[in-house]
Amino acid sequence: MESSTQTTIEIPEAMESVFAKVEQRFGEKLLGTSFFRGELSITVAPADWVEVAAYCRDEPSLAFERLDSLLGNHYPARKDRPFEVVAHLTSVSRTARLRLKTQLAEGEKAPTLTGVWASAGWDERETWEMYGIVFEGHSDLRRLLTTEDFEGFPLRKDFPLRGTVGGRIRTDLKGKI
Amino acid sequence: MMGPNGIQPAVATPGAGLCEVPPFLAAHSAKAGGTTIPHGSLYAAATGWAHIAGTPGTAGSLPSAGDIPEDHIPGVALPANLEKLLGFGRTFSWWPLLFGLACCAIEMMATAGPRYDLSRFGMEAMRASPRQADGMIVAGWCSIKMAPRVIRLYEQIPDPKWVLAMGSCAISGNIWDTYHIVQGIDSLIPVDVYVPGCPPRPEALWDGLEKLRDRVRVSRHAYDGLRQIPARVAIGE
Repeated sequence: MESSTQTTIEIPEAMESVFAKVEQRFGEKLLGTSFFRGELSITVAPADWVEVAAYCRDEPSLAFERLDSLLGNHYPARKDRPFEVVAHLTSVSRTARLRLKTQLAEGEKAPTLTGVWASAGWDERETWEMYGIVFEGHSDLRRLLTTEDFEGFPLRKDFPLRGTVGGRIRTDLKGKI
Repeated sequence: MMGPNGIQPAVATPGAGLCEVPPFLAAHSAKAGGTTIPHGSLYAAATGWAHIAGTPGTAGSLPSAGDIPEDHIPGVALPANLEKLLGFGRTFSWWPLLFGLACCAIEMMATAGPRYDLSRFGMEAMRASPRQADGMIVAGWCSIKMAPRVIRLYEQIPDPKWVLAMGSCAISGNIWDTYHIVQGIDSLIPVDVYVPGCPPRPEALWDGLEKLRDRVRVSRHAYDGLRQIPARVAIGE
C-alpha cells in the first residue's frame, strides 16, 4: 500500500501541488506516500508529527484548516511498529483532503495535536481509550466512551471479541444511580 | 402520622363517599398537569383513601398510622371496580417517555408517525420528562455507559409504570456480547413486554403495545411480584 517518495506514481492533478509543496518543505522527513482514489496519504515520524500538521494548516497554498478526525489503528503483524495514528485534514477553502499518518511502537508516545487543533483533544482521548496510545502533552486523558472502571483497550486486535468482564452489567453502579 | 413510605397518608373527612374525587385521582390529574409528585406518594394517597372507602362499616373512623401494618404493600387495596375504571382510562392515555437509544428508535418514530399513528390509542404524547410519563420504550441497545442514565430515568417515572423492551439488543444484547453493551435491559430494570426483532417493524411494536395495554387494563406491572429494581439488587441496595 505504501511506497517511498522516490518512486514515480500517478499523482492526481488536484493533489499534485499539495504533494510538491510538502515534499519540498520536508523532503527526507516523509517516510512514505500513497495515493488511493485521488486521496493523498503521507507518513511521517512521530517526532515530525506536530511540525508537519502545523505546516499543512498554516501554509497559505495548503490551508488545511480543519481536522476532520484523528484515529488509531492496530496492525499486530507489523511487529516493530504495530500502532498507527491517522489524522484526516480538510481544506474547506480549497476543497481538498489530506491524510497524515505516523507509526508507533508498543508503548511509544505520540505528541499531541491539541496545540494545532483544539478539537484533537476529543479524538486523542478516544484513541487513547481504544488503543492505549498515550498522547504526550494532552491535558485531560480520561476515558470517554467506556466507564471509568473499564480495564483494557478494546479496539486492540488482541482484546477478546466476546467480553465477560464484570458479569452482565459489567460496571460498578454504586453511587451512579 | 406517617405512612409506610414515610409520607403522610391522605386525610379524608368522615363520611367521605365514592362520589367525591379521591386523593388518588387528584394526584393522578396533578401528574398530567406537569406537577412533580414525589415517588410513592401516589400509593400513599391511594392507601389512605382506600382504608376509608374500601372498608364497609368503618366509615367515620379515620385510620391512624398504627392501623397500617408494617408489611403492608401499598396500592393493592383499591376497590375492584375503581381499579377497572382506572385501568380503562390509563389504557387510552398511556404516555411513553420520549427516549430512544439506537436504530430501534427510528421504527418507534415510524410507529408514532402518520402511517401507523400511535395517537389512535392515546399514546402520541411522548413526554420529554420522565415525571410526566407512564412508562418507557427501551428502543435499542443500551451501552454500559448509558446504563446509569436509563435506571435514573426509569426511577423518575411515577408509579404505576410499564416498560417495553424493543428489539433484540434491549432484550438480550443481540450479537453485541462485547465489552460495552448491557446484556439485556432486564438485568437493570423490570420489563413488562418484550418485542423481538432487529429492529421490529412498526407492526411488531404496535402488537407489543397492545400486549402492554392489556397489562395496563388489568393494572399488572413487571414489578408487582418483586418491587425491586434488578440494578439496585445487584449493588445490594
